[in-house]
Amino acid sequence: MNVFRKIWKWFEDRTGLGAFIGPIAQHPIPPRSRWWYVFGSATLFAFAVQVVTGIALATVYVPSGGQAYESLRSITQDVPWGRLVRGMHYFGASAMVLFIGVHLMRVFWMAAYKFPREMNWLTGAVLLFFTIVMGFIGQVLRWSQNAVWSAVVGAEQAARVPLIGEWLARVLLSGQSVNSATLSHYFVLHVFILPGSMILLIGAHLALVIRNGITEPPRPEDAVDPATCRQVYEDLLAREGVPFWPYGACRDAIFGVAVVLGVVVLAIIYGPPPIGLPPDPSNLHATPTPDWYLFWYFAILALLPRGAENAFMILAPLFLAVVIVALPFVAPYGARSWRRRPWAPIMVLFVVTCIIVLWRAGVREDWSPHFTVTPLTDAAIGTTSGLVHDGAALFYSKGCLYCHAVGDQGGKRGPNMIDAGDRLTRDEITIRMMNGGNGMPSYAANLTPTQSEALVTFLLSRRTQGPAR
Amino acid sequence: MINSPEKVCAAEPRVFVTNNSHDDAQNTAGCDGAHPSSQMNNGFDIIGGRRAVGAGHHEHGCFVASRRRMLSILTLSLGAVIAALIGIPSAALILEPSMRRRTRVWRRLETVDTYPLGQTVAVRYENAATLPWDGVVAFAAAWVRREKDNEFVAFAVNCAHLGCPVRWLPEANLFMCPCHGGVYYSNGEVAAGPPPRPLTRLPVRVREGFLEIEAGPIPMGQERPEMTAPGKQERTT
Repeated sequence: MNVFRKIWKWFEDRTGLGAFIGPIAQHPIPPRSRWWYVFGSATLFAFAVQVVTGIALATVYVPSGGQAYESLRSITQDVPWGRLVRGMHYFGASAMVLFIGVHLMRVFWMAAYKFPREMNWLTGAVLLFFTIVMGFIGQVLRWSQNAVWSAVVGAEQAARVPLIGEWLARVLLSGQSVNSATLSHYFVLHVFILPGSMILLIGAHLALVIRNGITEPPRPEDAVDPATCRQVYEDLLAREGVPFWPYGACRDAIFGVAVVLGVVVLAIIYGPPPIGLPPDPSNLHATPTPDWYLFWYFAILALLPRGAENAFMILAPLFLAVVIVALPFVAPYGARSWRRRPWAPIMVLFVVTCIIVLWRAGVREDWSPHFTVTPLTDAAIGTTSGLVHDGAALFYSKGCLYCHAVGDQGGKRGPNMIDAGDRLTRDEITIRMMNGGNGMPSYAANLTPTQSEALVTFLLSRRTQGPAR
Repeated sequence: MINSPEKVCAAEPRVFVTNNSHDDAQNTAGCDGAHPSSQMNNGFDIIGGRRAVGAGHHEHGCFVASRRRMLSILTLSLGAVIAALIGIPSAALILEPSMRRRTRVWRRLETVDTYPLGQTVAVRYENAATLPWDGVVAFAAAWVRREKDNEFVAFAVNCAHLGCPVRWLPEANLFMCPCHGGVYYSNGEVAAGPPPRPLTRLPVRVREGFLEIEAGPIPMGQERPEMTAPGKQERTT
């Protein structure tokens, strides 16, 4: 017996660690539980990336309103390893959001939330909420111009809650305006309170997985019956179960390596997201946008009908929370296979489609004025002088081009004006320009008759077919 | 040593069923023995002997249960005291900045003549509530326009939709928000997009030839300086 074996034997005798972990590691899992089951552990690997890289980043980051941005800039540009570790923290967050979403879909798809695993589902739901909150707060901790305005936007949304809204907003800002207290409180949430809570919840979530066992992939003929379900599961494990270690663990490890390797490679290739401008709230040329995993929500906020906003911003998250909490209690028994739950694949498809469509809309950001557009070139205008040329210049200087493209140049909020001359008459253009409407401001008080004439002439000259109407 | 629990608690045979935390297993072994099929045998009842008090206070087995119940409640209460002693001061410190009274301070800007008539310009001033280590975030901005000689109007930069900073486009004579497409006329009224109300007007005044602006909370929700501070919109000195 070599010396290590002796040490281990002594250690085991005094602690019982092996006797404690052994049965947990070797708990039987159902057969046929294959690659569908790796997303939970993939989320856990991503969380591990976040904890370790987060600790490393905290050795350089300074949570002070006046210095946080400088320290982040230093992490990104000066400190050896800083760029890689910050990049890993960013892509780790992305992986965590992605895989917790896929894990949720898988659990819903296979109805694994049913009896007796209701608490598995609920602890997971809270973890999902915390993960998204962590993502948002992490973005604020960059303490760039974008981050500071994101904190304001977050608080403004909270302020719309009836009765407690203003108080809630002040709690979110830790005061009446954005300052160092805002940053310190977000830092404490991001580094102590939420990760601590998440570690406890993950522990509970895993203990519940051990206690209730992982679900077997459902067959159409199986149904959850509370009277027999546990016994059926026990019998299945006794008959065909395989030990988690190493059969299940191996698949988790293979997928986990892919996840972590992916995070590292992406961090090396792309690095962390750019930190942008310093957080000077008096610099008004800011365009606050969230990180990619919240683009879809960003799009919702822009696309909501005007009257529905308050109701949606408050009721929709509440409704979603109620649905998620209620799900395992509304449908605790019965068939688990999607063949017997046709609404399940429809729901998954619907949610995924919504998120992808909204996400794309969020990336394109068609509703925003495009402040970065450049004046139309003479080539695009088609002439170098005269009323049409003057009109084109006004089309830019009066801000029309921010929202109305001409061809492929300009914003996308309003209709493209490349064929205005085909679609509209002189009177129609004038009326719309003067009165506004449909999301367009009225320009009546803002244009001299000469300017108006130039603009109309320019727009009428935009034709893709035939002579003017 | 112990009276037969079956007899003692015959009226309430289930009294002890929920009482079997491991440390007291011997005391109530008889009770458990009476109900070997109990599903609660592996459970842990944190408040022991819930129903024992009324069931037979003077009988020994049930007395144990009632004493255990009392000790359990006492222990839990002491735990709550410990949690309160640690938690209350800490929570108070964490929430203190959010509980502070709102402060408003007049901040001096440039001399009146610095501002050309009719032009809308951004001004920068120090926030009302700042910390020494705030750096650049100690400052805020507003849009100010000199309408007449000593008559100014100031708008919060925060879009009334979700608080993004609006930009002034002098040629277009409009404020535009970069986030969700809110547009305002030069008087702050909504011209287009999602904002539910006009831009917030901030109190300004002229003192000793200087323009002054009242720094205060970021306008949010229903709480708008123009509404909470009526009459502050002083137009002349």
